[in-house]
Amino acid sequence: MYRIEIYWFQMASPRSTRDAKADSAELVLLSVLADGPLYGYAITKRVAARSDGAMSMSAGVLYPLLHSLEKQGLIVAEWETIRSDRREEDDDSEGRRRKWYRLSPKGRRRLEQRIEAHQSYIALMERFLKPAEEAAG
Amino acid sequence: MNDPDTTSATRQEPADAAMAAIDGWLNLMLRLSRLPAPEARDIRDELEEHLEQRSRDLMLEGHSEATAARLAIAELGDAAVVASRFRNAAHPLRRRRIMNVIIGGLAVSGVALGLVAVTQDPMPRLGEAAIYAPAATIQKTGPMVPAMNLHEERLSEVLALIDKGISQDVIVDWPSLTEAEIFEDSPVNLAVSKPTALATVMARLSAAAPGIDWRLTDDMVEISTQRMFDLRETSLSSFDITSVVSHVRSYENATYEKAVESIVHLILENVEPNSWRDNGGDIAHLHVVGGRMFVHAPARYNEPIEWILAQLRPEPGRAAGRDFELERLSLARDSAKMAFDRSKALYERGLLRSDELNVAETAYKTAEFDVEAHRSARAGGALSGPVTRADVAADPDPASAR
Repeated sequence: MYRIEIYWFQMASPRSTRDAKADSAELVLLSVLADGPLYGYAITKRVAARSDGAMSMSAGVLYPLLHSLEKQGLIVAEWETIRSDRREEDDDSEGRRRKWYRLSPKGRRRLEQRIEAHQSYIALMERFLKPAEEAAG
Repeated sequence: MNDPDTTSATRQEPADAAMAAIDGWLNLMLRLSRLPAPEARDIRDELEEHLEQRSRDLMLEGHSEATAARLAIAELGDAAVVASRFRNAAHPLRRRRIMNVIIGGLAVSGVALGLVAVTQDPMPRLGEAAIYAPAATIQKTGPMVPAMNLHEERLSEVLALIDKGISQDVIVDWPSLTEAEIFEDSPVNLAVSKPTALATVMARLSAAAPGIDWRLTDDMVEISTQRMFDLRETSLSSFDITSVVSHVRSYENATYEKAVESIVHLILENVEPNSWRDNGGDIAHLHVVGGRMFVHAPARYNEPIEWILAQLRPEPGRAAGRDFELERLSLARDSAKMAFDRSKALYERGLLRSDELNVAETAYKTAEFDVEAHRSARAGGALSGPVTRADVAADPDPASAR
């Protein structure tokens, strides 16, 4: 099985390549959040589950991306206080905080636009791929 | 020595080591991100929670706590890269606009790609030590800027006053400066009581706006970031390293590949380390082919690279009277000592097993023994040629020579 990693390239690569990769990560993230609120670690698991393990979203990419989408108002975050097993022994512990993300109305519109653009792109590509497949067949 | 994973008295150590490793990574990343404190605190909480959950899953897969923490951190990646992503994420829209301008600018100006064969003479050594110090100023001193006394003034105003005070036009590359978080409204203090060279004024400004840089042409002063100038002033240089490789090979008894690897490593770790592609940077890269090293990097890198190579070149006049074997053994001993010290630190943090520490300790003690045995043999006049481990082994009681 192929394993696909989603990157943000830091190198000065052509804008289109970098943006395409960043846009893919954004599309995946918005799609996953369209199912309902999730926190960071749960998002990585959901991405892996929905792609049957073929795709993994690195935490080093995920959290800055969440940060960026939140700044753009595409997602909304809420904090929940939780108590981890280790901290339960410590009476003074205030517990850990978990950040939940959900899609904002603006994010939902962005997702619809992205899906539409992606489907148009796929449809366009198929026009080129079909003759090749037929020729191969 | 006991294995920390199996000794009850040290059972807590891996957990502490794991938390220390996570803390260390988070501290470094957040410091590099330069985000405001409240934002940094939120990111710390979120990543801490992620790392704790990921570590727990990895422990369920059978890893020790310390290893699980290490793997979880490794998955997050290089702290500097993640910090940079967070920094860029803080201004997503502005970043896109800036990137358009930068790429447009690069397309227009082009990357200055020159092929330069570097044939500088080696820099002089100072006795046994050789010290590299870049030239005090690489810029011309520039035009004289009139006296000014500004307190908490906007950077854009300061640059406008400089523009007004000199005959050259001042062109400011705000997109690049903004990218480096140097803003038009960044507050600046600047006090020069008499007309002062632009170089001095810019050096003072760079204290308030780290990363700002400038270039002077006949009729223009260009102000941007060092990164922008680095990208523009990149050139391809070629260094002849045949004699350096052969010297390192014979000195360290190394293969060609190993010698080249050592030389490349030395350069990547000592000349602007973060800028090399091999280190995750995006400015410079180098390749060694056929005894020549091709370096695609800003021209300012050439001088320190040539200096490092000069230190490694054999000097025929200095060979007489030198005990190369002792130098080789001492170097091996120092290297083994460093490895042992590093291992001790890792062991104390529960990141290394006792048998691994024992290997490092034995290597160090053996290397130290080799140095002492060689010195003793030399002092006693027992050897006229180079001393080797075989000579020492032939001595029934090397310690008696001390």
